[in-house]
Amino acid sequence: MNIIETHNLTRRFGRTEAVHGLELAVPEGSVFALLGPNGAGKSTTIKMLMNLIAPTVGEARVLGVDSRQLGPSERQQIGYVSENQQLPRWMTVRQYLDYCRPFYPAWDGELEKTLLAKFELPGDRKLQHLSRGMLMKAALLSSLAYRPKLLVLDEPFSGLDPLVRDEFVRGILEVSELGGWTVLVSSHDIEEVERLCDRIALMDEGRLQFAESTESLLGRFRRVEVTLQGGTADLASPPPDWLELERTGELVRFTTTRHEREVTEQACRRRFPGAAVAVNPMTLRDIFIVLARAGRTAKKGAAA
Amino acid sequence: MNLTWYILKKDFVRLRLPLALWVILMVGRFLVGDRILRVENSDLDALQVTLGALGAMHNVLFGLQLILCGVLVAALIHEDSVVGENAWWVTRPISGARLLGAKLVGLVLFFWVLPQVVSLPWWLYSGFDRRAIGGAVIQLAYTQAALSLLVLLVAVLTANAARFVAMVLLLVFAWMCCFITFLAHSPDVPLGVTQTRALAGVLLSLAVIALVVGHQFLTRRRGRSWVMFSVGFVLMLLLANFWPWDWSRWALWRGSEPPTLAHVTVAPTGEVAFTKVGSNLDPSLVRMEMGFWYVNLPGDYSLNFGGVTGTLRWPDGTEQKRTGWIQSYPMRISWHIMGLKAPAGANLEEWQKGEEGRGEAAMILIPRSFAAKVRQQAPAWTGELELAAYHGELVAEVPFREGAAGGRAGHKVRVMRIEHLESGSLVVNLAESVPIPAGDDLPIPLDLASRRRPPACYVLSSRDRTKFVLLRPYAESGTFVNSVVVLRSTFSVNVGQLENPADPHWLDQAEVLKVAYWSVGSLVRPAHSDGLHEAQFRNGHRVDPTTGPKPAPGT
Repeated sequence: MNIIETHNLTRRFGRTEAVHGLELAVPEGSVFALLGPNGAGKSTTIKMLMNLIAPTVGEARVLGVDSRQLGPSERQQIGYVSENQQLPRWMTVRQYLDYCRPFYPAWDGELEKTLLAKFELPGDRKLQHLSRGMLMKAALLSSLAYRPKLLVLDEPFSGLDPLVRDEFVRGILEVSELGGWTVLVSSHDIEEVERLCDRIALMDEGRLQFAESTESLLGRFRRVEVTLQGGTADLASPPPDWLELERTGELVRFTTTRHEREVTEQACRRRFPGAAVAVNPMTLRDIFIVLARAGRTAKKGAAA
Repeated sequence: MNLTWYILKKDFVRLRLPLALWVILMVGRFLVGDRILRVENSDLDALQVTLGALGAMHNVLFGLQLILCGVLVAALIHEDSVVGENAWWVTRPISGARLLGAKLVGLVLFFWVLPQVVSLPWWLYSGFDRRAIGGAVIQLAYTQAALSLLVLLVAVLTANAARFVAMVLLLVFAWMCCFITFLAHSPDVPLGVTQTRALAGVLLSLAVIALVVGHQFLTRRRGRSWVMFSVGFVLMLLLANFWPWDWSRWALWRGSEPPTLAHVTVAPTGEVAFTKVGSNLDPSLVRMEMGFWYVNLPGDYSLNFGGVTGTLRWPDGTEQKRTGWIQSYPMRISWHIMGLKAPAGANLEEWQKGEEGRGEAAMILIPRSFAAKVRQQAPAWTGELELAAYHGELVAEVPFREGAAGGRAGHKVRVMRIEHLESGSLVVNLAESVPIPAGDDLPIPLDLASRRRPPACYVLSSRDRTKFVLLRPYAESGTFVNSVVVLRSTFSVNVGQLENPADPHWLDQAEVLKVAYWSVGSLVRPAHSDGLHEAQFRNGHRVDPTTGPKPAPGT
């Protein structure tokens, strides 16, 4: 069952189309990452899902309800943390939690205490005196203590230094071990997402490039290095799943987006007879960069 | 409901310190008001300077209080902003309706109820009775409602304090531009139409505020809210300047006509005087003062603050329809005092001759060319006067000696200083606290926060009520302190005319009497004059048109 579904979700700001015809499904229980460069439309998508802005066209269903109809009963099952969210900074951490508590019948006092200890948050310090990382942790705590079905994190890592970012991710990982929730996180911070997520969607210029499990994504992308060893190389009309094909002397490099060991080896033997082929796994970051470059090249080609 | 109170409690905790500062400013005004009532100085000029300084200090506190009130109302809304996508409450299980409910309850408690509670001891200290407190509550509620609702309207359309201030400045500038533009082309509008426009403007404002605030809280679609606001603004401008119909008779409840005034008629003196209009933008207009008398008006009533509509008709058939207003001369000493206090056989008629030998004047703006025409050919005038009726009530009888005090019905009078001049006259300084009547003449006063204190007159009377002399004000310092008029007045008294060798010490036993006039309804009366003549000059001075021949009672 999908906890979030969008159909032809589109948002325009004047003549600019921030999100175009988005078809997305977030399965229940998954930790789902919405990746993309700045301006890809990730935050706009999340704002539409949370009914912070209305879609121009299309619809989104969250917890089975049209996002435009999200009411208090659905909000009691959704946790939302965003870098831009305006928290009541004049409150202490404890005052803030005391204020949040009555709005959630399912608020778990024990979990609140556990998280408070795990996150090492000082209860008597005002939010305005917390570091950015601590502030995000406080926001996360206030969005977790009622055990929401859906936790939405909009660019939670931006502006955090590496140490704090690590603490924050560890915090999320710790609570995710408690189980029972679906997490949707938007970010352009690939390393952190790689540690967290089991499904990934990539957006670019408002369009969804793909959405699949992290395992499948990491499995089908490979960096291939071919050492010709004096043999010939057929670089004409490469298959469409070969990206960034380049030759430097005896060395040919490319990235395949549909790696299957036998298929890749056969294709290499056919085009580079007698060559030595090395197939290397890629990180999400490498994949992200390759796809972004390929997108730009394709755009330039189309413009030309 | 519980959750609404949680939000309210949070807002109170957030705003408690500035709210406390606001209350301190209010209490500071009460202290300054009390100081105004108590300050003494043997030099009356120095006293006026001190009173002026205290008045200025009060006004500064009042200005700060108003500004802080506006800031607090805006802060209450911005605490949970309804503009933008980043407010905390938007992603929490708080509906717009619940938040609106919490904010409205906060608005009422913090800005309507709290000032009333803080003011109550001040009102009681000022000697207010139940009626005066009721009037004060209504008056303060109107003031606070007018301010807080306008601020609320702007606050729901802005995301933070900086944008709020910018928007307020922009709107004030826009309003001034529109006002000046329309004022320059302001035609002569009948009073009833003006009143209808004002009432319709108030109702439209309330509708626009309710619509925009409700819409913004429930939908957070600011674009549409701005459209509603803009449409309302334009409608208001159109209404304020082009509404043509007089619905004041139906739309405004003016209070029924008191039966005792059923036989009152209005008789023009037939004399007019022309004066130039100092502040009017149009130099082609002059002011025509038209004198008239009230006939059969009981002595304890006064008619004042009204409008006049009429048509001038010349023998050659030319007509000019104009509207104007009634000049309000100070309330004159009333028979009411003597009706209540004079012993049998007192010569009231004789006394009245000296003090009430004067009518009223209607002020009508007319073109200069018509003024010249009036001088050449006396036109007939037929019209209608609309008048507010007041009933006099004796509210203070205070022994005429320094330090003596007294009063009732919310009025408190203290004799601060009596100075005997070489000329034989007296100078008397009085300190008073006076209630403001609010909402007693109209259910929805058009000036919303009416700051008009009730008209009053003062008399020095002998204990046996055989001698009366009017106290004539020549200096006054009045300050409005949360529905209490704090007043220091200096009067001159010419007692020479009442000197009596048989009773040389009558002044030692004298009393200061104060009659306050309360609004009791209104009248509309037709009037006609066969010919209006310009008042002539006598001894180098133009004759006051209101001193024309008085018609006999009963005509």
